[in-house]
Order: sequence, then C-alpha cells, then structure tokens
Amino acid sequence: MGLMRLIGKRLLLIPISLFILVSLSFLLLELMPGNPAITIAGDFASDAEIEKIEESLGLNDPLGARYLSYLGSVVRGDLGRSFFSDQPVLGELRERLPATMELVFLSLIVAAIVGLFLGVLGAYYRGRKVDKATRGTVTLFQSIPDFLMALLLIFFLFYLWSVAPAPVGRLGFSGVSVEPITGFLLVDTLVAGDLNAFVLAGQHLLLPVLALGIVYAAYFGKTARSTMATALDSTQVEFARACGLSEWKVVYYAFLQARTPILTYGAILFGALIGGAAIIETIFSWPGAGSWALTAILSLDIPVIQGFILAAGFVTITVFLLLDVLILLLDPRVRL
Amino acid sequence: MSDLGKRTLEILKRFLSVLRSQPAIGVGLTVVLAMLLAGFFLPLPYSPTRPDPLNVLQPPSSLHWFGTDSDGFDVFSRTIAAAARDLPLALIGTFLSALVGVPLGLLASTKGPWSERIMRGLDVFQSFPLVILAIAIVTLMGNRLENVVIAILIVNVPRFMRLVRSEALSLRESRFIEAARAVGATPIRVMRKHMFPNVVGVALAQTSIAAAQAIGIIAALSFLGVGVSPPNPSWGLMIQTGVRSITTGDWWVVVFPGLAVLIAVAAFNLVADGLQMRQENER
Amino acid sequence: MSETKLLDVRGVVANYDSPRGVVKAVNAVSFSADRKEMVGIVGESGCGKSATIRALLGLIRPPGKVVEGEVLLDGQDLLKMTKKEIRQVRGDKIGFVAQNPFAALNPIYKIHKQFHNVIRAHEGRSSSRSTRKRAVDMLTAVGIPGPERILDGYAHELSGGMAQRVVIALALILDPELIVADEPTTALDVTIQRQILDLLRRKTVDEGRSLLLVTHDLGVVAQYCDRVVVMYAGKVVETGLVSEVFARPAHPYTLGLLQSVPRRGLKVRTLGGRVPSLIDYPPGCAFADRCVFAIDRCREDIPELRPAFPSGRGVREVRCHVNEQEVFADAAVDR
Repeated sequence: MGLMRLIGKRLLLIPISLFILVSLSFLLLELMPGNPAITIAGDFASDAEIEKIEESLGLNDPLGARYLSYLGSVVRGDLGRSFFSDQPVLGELRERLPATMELVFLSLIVAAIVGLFLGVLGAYYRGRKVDKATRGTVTLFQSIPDFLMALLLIFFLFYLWSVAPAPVGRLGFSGVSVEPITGFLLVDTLVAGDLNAFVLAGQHLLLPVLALGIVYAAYFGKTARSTMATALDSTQVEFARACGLSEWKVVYYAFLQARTPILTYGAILFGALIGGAAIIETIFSWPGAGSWALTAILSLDIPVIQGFILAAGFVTITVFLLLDVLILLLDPRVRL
Repeated sequence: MSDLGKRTLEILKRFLSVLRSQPAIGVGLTVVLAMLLAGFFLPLPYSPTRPDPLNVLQPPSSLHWFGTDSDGFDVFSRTIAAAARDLPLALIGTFLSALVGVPLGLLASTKGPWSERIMRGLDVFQSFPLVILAIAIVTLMGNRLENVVIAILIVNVPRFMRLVRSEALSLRESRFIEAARAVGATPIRVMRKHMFPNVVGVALAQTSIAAAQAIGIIAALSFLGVGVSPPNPSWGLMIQTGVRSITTGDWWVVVFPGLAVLIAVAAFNLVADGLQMRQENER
Repeated sequence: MSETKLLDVRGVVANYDSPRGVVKAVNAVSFSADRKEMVGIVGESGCGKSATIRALLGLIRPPGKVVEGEVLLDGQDLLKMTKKEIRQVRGDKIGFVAQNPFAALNPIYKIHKQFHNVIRAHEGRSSSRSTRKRAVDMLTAVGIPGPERILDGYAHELSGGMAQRVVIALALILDPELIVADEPTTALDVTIQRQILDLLRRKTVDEGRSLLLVTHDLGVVAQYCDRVVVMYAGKVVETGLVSEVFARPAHPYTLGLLQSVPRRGLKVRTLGGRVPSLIDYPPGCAFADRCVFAIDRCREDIPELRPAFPSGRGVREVRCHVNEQEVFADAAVDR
C-alpha cells in the first residue's frame, strides 16, 4: 500500500535528518566565538580556574574527538549534562518539552479558529467593508508583539477582572501535584481523575494560550484570506453555486480546496513556536523548553542548546510527517 | 532638463500616483517619519537616561505625561527618545538586508543545481524561530548594539533571496525576457534592465514587512536584555521594566512603550499591505 | 402565437467596478430562447458572453453587479428574486454546464456525494439510496456505461468526455427547463466534442428544453444551433436564425467572424484590430475602428438594434448604421 510505503520511507529519513541536524548544530556552536568556561567561572576568575573548567568540560580535546564522542553518546540516548545545573539534558527535556507542546498545541487551535474566522470572512466579502475590517484586525494582531499582548492580558484578566490566576507556572502556588504520564497536564489530571487540578491547569493555560493564539491568529488569517479568495473564485465553486447549493455548502467546498495550504502553514507555525514561545514562557514562569533554551543561549550552556535543537528538530520533522500523511488521507487525488 | 532630473521627476510622479491609489502607504510612511522626527528633535521634559529616585511609579499626570517607572525614569521622555534608537536600527538592518538579498536572489535565479542547493540550505536556516535565532546570533557574537543589525541582516537576507528568486524564476519563463535574450542581451543586462524593475514591487513590500519584523525583534531582544545597555532607552527594555509593575496595576510603564512598538510595527505593516494590494490590483 | 418564450432577457446591464473605472461587461443585452431551441451566443473573448449568462444565473459577484434589466424565465423575473429564491432556481430550473469538467467537479468528494448534495440542496432530506438510484438513471441517460462504478469513484479517475457527461448529468438531475452551457467542448478532444454536442442537442430538442450555448466556435453554432446571438463589446450586434445569419450576415462584425473561419472555396480574412476597452466606451459604434464599412456617423452616434432583411425568415435584428444589403454584397464578392 502506498501510504504505508510513504510512512516507512519518511520514518527512515528521520534519523538521517537528525544526524545532519546534530552535526550542523555541533559545528555551528563550535565555530561561534565565546568561551563557556569564562561564562561559567565569571568575569573575575583567574586563568587557572578557567583552565580547570575547560579541562573538566573536555573543551581542550580536539574537535574531531569531541564530535565523535558527542555523536556516540547521542546514539546511546545521552544528551550530556547542563554546564550549570549539572542535570541530564534528556531528563529536563522530558519534563519541559510536554509543557511547551501543550501550550503550543492549544495556542495553535485558538489561532486557527480565530484566524480562519477572520480570513474566511474577509475572503468571502472581498473588497467590501467586512474585508477591510477583518484585514484591519489581522494587521492589528500582527503588529502586537506577543509579550506585550501577554502583559496586557495579565493586566486586564488577572489584575483588573481577576478572571485568570497569577502568571506563575502551570499550576501556580497551589501545591497540587500531578503524576506525569503524558506530560500534558490537561490529560494527566483527567487520567488521575483530579477534576480540581484539571480546572487549575486550564486556568493557568488561559492567558498564555490567549496571548499566543491571538498573535498567531494573524498568520492564519492572512493565509486563509488569500487561499480562500482564490478558492472562492474557482470554477469548482462557481459550478457548485450554479447547481444551487447553499452558500454555506459553497464556502465549505472552497474550504476543502484551501485547507491543504492552511494545514501546511499550521505545521510550520508549530515548529516555529516550540522555540518561539520562549518569551511568553518566561513571562508566565512556564517550565517549558523555550524558556529553558533561552536561558541556555544567554549563558552559553552548550549541551542544553544542542539538546534543544535536537528536540525541536525531532518534533518539527514528526509534525511534517504527520502533516504529509494527513494531506494524503484527505485528498483522494494523491493516493498512489 | 537633464536626463537625471527627468528620471527623478518621473519617479516622484509615480510615487504620488501610488500614494493616491493606496492611501495606507502614505499614512504608514507619515507615521514612521513623525516618530523618527519626534525621536530626534522633540525637546524632552526630562532626561531619558537620568532617573529621579524620588518620583518612582507616578501615574500619568500633567508633570509626567506618561508617568514614571519603578526606577523613577520619565516614561514619556524615554518612549520618545527610544524612537531615535529603535527605528534607525530596524531601518538600517532592513535596508542592508534588501541591498544584499535582492541581488543575491537575482543571481540565485540562474538555472543550475547549485542555486537549488543553496536555497535548500537556506530553507533549513529559515525554519528556526526568528527571535531565538536573533538572540543566539547577538549572544554568540557579543552583546553589542551593532550585532543587532547583523542579526536582522542574517535573519532577513534569506527571505529576500527566496522571494526575489521565486519572482525572478517566473519572470525568466515570460516572453519578454525570452525576447530580450533572443536579441542578444547579456545576462547581466537582462538582470539589471529587465528583471530588476519587475521585482522592485515585491522587494519593496518585503522591505516594509521586514522592517515591521525588525522592530518586533529589537523589542524582543531588548526585552530580554540582549543588545542594549541600560540606562539607554529602548522600547523592549522599558516594557521589561514594567513587567514587575503590571501585576500590581501600574499599567503605564508597559502600555506607553508598548503602544509605541505597536504603532511603529502597524505603520510598516500598513505600507506593506498597501504595496501588496497595489500588486494584486495590477495583475 | 402569443405563447410566452421560456427565456426572455430584456435590457440587462452588468457592470464591474475596477480600480481603473467601471467596466460595462454586459450593456443592455436582450435576447430570448424558446423550448426545443438551441441558441448560440458567439463573440471574441471579452465580448461579454460569459458575463451575460452569469448575469441571468445570478452568479455575478462583487465587484460586479447587475444594474438594470429583466430576465424572465417562464414569465418570472429572476433579477427581482431574493438570494434564496434564485438559489432554488439554479440547478432546479436552470442547469449549468461548465467549460472544464475537471475544474468544475469537486475533486475531494465521490461523484455520488456530489449528486446527493445537489438533490439535497433543493429537495431537503433525501436518503442516500434514493439519490443514488436517480444518479444511476441520469448517468445512464447521458450515456455513461457502468454508472455504479463511476458513482463510487472520483472526478480525476474519469476521462475528459466522461467527466463532461457527469457534469451534464449533474446539470440535468433536477430536470431543468433551461440548460446554460459555457463553452462545453473547448476543453475536450475534437472527437469527443461531437458526442457531447449531440448529447446536449438530444437533451434539448427531444425533451423540450431550451439551451444557451456560449461558444467562440462558429462551426459548432452552424451545425447545432437554431438561432444565434452575436455579441461585441458587451452588446448584441446581430440576432437571427442560424441559417439566415450565416447565409446573409447583416453586421460587418458577423461578416468578419465568418470570413475568419477557413472554409472551402472562400478566402480567409482576419479581423484586424482589437476589442475596445469596456471602460472608455467609444462615443459611436464600438466596432467602428475595425470596420471596413464605417462611415462618419458610426463614430458619433451609437447604433440601435433594428430589423434587417425584412423579407427573410424569422426575426432578424442588427445594430449597424450601414445598410445590410451593402454588407451582404461584400460577402458575396468572395464567392
């Protein structure tokens, strides 16, 4: 069967892509100026101290040897330890990646709903007042930096109206703990049957999800407007209309044509948001992978940076694989 | 009249007709210009770099129009002064990107396996999140202001290249390029005389999109304390100062610099929208 | 003989707003069609023939707008209907056959689902079994072998001729009185063209419908249509029975069109010049600049439709200041 063969082929490609990614990120980080030993030791450290740290980190070994030993440990599932916290990178990833994924996934759903609504409305009423209004809204959303949106939401929904809890982490200072199974709190709390914690997790998700969702709705809105405008002009839509189908059905026919590029855009955004949510995570003290990577970059914590690039790459490749399978399943024309 | 004068007049006339058909472009450009002029020439009521520790977190009043922040800086003076830093940085970074990216994109549109390979490589590069990439570049190259411009350059050049290349590739298939080549125009002449004028439109639109993004990137970087040196004013840095205050209801520290970023980004987005609408209508 | 025509189009005007001004795509167009009659609408591309049929189907979308006129179908004015009413007319009373079947059919849905959707849009809830039965019957009636198999397949699995038959079946599934076909054979192989046109002719004449055939192919009109409407720059310039118009063209443009078709024993002449812009409509006749017969009056004064060759069969009308005998005399010179 064509589908299985495609998936098999793509699954084989994943390790190859990851190998290229690991090698590239290793080389890039090597070539960059800046000495992590100095960063760790602080500006006032003596040369001897720096020498000692360099020695302990293995920074004095030849490049080739370090590359091979890094590759070897990656294959064994060991991503090294953070220069600063001394925690295994893989263990931290396992904790932090799901927190980011939950945030990104829900944000994209909000973004897709808001964006599609604006985009489809604009395309349908192209050139008229509704179009101008939705385009204005999209431009406004696009012009607000996500961190500003987050701060405004905190001001209104937390400070003024007390709808949302204080912006501190996934469960706040509640002392509630949840046994991690999937790492997605909304799922884990339900599995544990802890409705109280479920609501709490949902409340804490509200603001960051809204902030990212509204800002990224602009991107969905733009894509949806242009692809839907083309689709609504197509012969297929005109023929559907000439057959007397209702306008809802006609718009749905157009959406069937436009959904592939919109889905593709969603996948691209998903990949970009794994790191792109970093600032939002920082503002909300969200224990995610983005803020973790951000701190690592600012402090030259190379094992963490590499671990993050690897994880983000893995997630991106997987999402694109899922996307291709989905497109294949949705469109009868591409079945082989 | 001299040949050059005639051409300038011609360009000016076209510019005016563009403004007439797409007023959004004029509005956007005016706003940016006004912000720049205000940043450089508006007399400020207080020093933007020297705080007044006796007047911290004052709400907006006739003394402090936009209030003061937790260090006692006058928010109005700093918001205006920051325009003279953040906007030129964004503009320089963007123009340099266009200057490098457009010719490279035209060159990359020549057929051959190498141009294809280079573009594939750039694709990988582009799949990194913008802000993270910029932060990494500035951090690794040294925490200095000039490096922000370089970060904008590195982020944007591939975008210009890809856009101009795809536009140029479709132009290469068109009849008039074929005709120009048939009568023996050299490749450089074809590029300069026939392809460049036709990619100017998309390149201009991309320039204003990139400028809008650059302002966002600069704000994000300075929000994280990357590439700026306090007490020099920068919108992102000012918003960062306000994070502590907003959870206690002192909104003005965040809102005014935030509005400034919003207006600047929206102005460039308006210009981009106008240029894109014009292109859409011309086709 | 006072029986009303099935379709009577009277003075329809449709404009499009563009950045450069108002485009007068359909400019006071009038014509009619009777039952068991095929009416050809011919003209160069951009002459307004497509916009005309879209106007009568209510398919002109903003920035376009129908601003004047009446479209009477069975005495009911379609242009006065609400959006909901005209939607019920489309598909039910007027069937539409598109130019390119692959562009028209939904690529994602199975063929049966497309029939199902059309029937449901007009008749409310219908069981999948009943719509299937009707679709099978209709596909058989348009000459598709193995209709069951086709219904469970997708559009892209069909050949061009089969796909166009499916489109025709979709247009006919609710038994409309009027069929509107927009260049139904241009996207098909020449060998298939004949079969499709024969099918359309059968469905029109044998079953008492009326058909509007938009085409730029004069050969098709000559072979299949009963009457012809010649359009130029958004206006009707000549109408009449096909046999009359082709034998004795009254308008210089019709003459030009006929002479540009290669035929045995005749010299091929090409029409010089181009269709004028529909924005800056010339003060006189739109064809004057390309016309070999043009006189001073043609550039100053817009001609009205008037009767021509009153002695001939059927109603002939022409929009020209020049005497039709003069035009016809020129046509005769070539023979």
